[in-house]
Amino acid sequence: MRILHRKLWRNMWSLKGSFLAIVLIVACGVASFVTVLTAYRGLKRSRDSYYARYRMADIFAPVKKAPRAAIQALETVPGVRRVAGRIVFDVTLDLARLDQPVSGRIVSVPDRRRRLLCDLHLVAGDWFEGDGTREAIVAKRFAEVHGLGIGDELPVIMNNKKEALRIVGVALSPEFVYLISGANILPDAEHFTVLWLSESFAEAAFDFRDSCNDVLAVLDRGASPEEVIAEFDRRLDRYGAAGAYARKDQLSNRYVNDEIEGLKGSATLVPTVFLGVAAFVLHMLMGRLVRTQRGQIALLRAFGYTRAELIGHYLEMALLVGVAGVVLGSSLGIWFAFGLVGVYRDFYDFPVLDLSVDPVAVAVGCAVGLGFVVLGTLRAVLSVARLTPAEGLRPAAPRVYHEILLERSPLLWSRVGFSGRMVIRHLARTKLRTILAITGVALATGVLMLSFFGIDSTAELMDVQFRLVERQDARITFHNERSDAALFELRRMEGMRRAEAVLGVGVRLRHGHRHRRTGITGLDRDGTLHGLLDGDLRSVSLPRDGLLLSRKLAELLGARVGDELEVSVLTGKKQRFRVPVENVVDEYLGAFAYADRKQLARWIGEDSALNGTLLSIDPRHATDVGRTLKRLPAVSSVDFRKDVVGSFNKTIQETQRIFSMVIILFAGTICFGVVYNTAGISLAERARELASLRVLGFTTAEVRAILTTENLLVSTAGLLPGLALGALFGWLLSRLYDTDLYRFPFVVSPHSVLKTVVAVYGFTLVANWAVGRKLKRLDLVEVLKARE
Amino acid sequence: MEALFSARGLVRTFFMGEVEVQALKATDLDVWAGETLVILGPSGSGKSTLLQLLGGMDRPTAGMLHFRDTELTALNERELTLFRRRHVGFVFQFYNLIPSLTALENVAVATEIAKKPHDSAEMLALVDLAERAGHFPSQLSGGEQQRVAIARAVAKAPDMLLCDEPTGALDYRTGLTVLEILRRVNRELGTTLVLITHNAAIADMADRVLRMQSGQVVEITENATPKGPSEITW
Repeated sequence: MRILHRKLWRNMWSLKGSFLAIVLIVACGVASFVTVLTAYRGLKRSRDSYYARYRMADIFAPVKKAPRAAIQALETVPGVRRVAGRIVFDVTLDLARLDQPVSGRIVSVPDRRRRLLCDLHLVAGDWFEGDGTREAIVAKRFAEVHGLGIGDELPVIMNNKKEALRIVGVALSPEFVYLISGANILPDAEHFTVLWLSESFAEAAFDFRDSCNDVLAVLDRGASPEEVIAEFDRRLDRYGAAGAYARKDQLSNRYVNDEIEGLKGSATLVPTVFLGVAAFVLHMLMGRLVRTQRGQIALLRAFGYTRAELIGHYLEMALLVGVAGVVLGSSLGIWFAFGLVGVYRDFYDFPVLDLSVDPVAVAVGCAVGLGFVVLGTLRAVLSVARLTPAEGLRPAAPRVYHEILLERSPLLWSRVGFSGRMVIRHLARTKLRTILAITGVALATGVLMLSFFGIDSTAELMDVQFRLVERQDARITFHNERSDAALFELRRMEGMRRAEAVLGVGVRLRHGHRHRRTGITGLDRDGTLHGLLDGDLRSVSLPRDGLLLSRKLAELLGARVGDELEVSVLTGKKQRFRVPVENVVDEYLGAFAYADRKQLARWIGEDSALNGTLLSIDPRHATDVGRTLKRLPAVSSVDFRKDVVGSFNKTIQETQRIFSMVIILFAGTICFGVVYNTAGISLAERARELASLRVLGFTTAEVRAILTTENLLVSTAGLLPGLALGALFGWLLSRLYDTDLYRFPFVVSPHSVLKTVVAVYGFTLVANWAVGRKLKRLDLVEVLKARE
Repeated sequence: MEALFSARGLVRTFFMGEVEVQALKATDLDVWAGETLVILGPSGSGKSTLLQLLGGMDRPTAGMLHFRDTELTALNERELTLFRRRHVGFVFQFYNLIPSLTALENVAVATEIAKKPHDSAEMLALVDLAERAGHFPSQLSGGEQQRVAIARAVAKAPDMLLCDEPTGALDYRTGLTVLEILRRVNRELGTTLVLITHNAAIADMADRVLRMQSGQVVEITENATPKGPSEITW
């Protein structure tokens, strides 16, 4: 077998370019697979261990105000292992260095440290001293962004009073892995933080002696959250229960879960494409190798080498390529996953985010990679097995060309030059290979499109959401419902262009057996600061009666226009009523319902009410308005659109650029590999023919033009289905990331199509150039001497 | 008589691994315009090397080679290609037709890049293959393929036809037909014919016969009464 090994190395050396291309494609596939699988498993593991160690609650139940004793009694509910009551309030912080208020969420924790539900992971400082009056533990991300440390003071407006709180600790919490207020889709620690205060201090500050307004519970293993929620809602009803919800509906957890689920989908889509292409290309290359070595194979068989030995020989070649690809790919994957930790740190706060070498991910990645490689070699190897010695020693049948369909149309055919005819007939004769090559280019095109799709989709989301839907400069939320007088106050401020009332009401919507906790936003019919749009971005008017549902909410409820929904208000007098769905609007963020504000107020038994406003502010006075808003005690939060857009651009765009670069590089590898191999095989098989042309007096450039035409033709043929495929990939990905929090719209911009086309032709020409160099070395004398 | 080629001290050395092989030792030669020159010799005698040098497919290691007033040895790759394009027609032992082009297209592929070519169809008629114009090489017999190759070589109206064992792969009768056609091209179109063979009988149709052995010209004989191919037997 030693001689066979030598042959193996020499064969592979002579085709090193082609094999290298395949190694790289396999590596891309395995790398993406290992990266995504490592991220998926790592993120899941980090979440699970964090939740377990810090006792993330299973049930969250906000109430108006309930005595601690009543809350403690909830431990008797079957399935409940432990409950805890706490005080949660939204406040504003008046930071000197900012010209606008910062939103804060007060969460009370016991004065003395003990094992809590949703426990804190202290990264700096300590628990409260004494009863913790005017002391706070702040979120790590917030402290970092504002450069705050232990001992620094924070001016907070609590219960209409401005208090200066001293920071005693910096912490993380499992319920704020994704540090978000609900008004944003990205963590914006510049303008939002959690403040953990001692129970004693919170009770005193909010007049909540021995009372709470939020309940946490952990359940026994196997207990049903639905039953517990129902029982909680029943028992807490008289304390103003706003509707308990399970961990799966908790905001931070939803973001984390959506990411994990998204990764699960991505783990299959992209790597499959890459490995599929690698199998394709290997199939072509090995097929050609076996064809040209028929004589050698037959000879070896005639000498007495067994079929198995020869199959092993060719299989070994493929496996060597596979192993090289898999080793390179998994190393890259490990490295990329390591780099992903940095990306995830921009979004998620875990005490430990472990995306280090994951043996399972690497093993699965390698196995899948090798599997595809073997698959790609199978046909060639089987043809080795079928070859009998006598058959192999006879010269291969001459290449037969026939008229092709196009020639039946003399008008068209007469316009095709000879080199064109050569190219077209050749492509038509090697149909299978041509189809494989076209498919390869199509896949590369698809992957490229996919990378541009992410950018397009995000841009579309941003544009629609923050230009057409949310047209306000700022949104104010008040602590309590207020009368329209609050509007007049705001409108009097200098630089205030518009102030429109908003009434947000927490509800549970029910349609048949499906139900959903969400909010109805009441808007004024003459309002202009919140756009309601249909799928074609046309304005939808607010009905006088009935609801507008966002498409996602309608989908979740299985409701269509005309259907009646049962509405249960979660707060206040808890009315129940039935209203029809009047229309559906398209939004990319959230899953909400809209109604006429006056009508919504009547539904909840008020004449007219608002608990928020949308503001349009003259930019010249933005600073003054911001400063004034900081001091309004009734305000529970202020969100400026520019901050949302700003944080978005900073984090998402940067991340996206890195990902796009990687994908473009990967797609380039595929495109290059496919074209290089197809052209290389074509050149090798037709060396004699091309040399003949050179002898006839064709210049190298003219002969190269034939190969170039062929490659460009293949790429052009691959482009169109590739663009369609890219659109399909994009659509699949948009389905993958279609959650009730956000949806990535499926858009294909002409700009991206153009970029894809340019890139595919670019990669084609590079591969063409690489093969073309071989033409120069074409030895006219040698080629013509040897009989095929 | 005008010298089409004149070679002086032409040498071609190959390196086979570490061994230096002198395929062509210092050779002087003139090829006259319009003549039929047969180069005769066993395999390895250097005759193919000589033909390749004349045809601009290869470069000598040393010596001078002129085509009319042009010094071929001084031409670069591109100029050599143009030289082949304008002046040389090749006919090979194994035809080397383009399998993806029909007979007529195989001829036309040469006329397409020539300055003043003959009509492709007429050339096919000249080799008696007018009715096979639309056939692909795989549908033609060896002799037919070789006749297409000759038509292709002649069609661009070259100054000379360089033939490397044109009958080597053909049976006797077919070989004769091919030689007949080559002779007709030489006589009717005035194209200089240089023909390599190891078949001594073919030498009878030559104006001059050049015998080679071990990379050297050993003898040049003039043939006062060249025979027609039909008179030759082997």
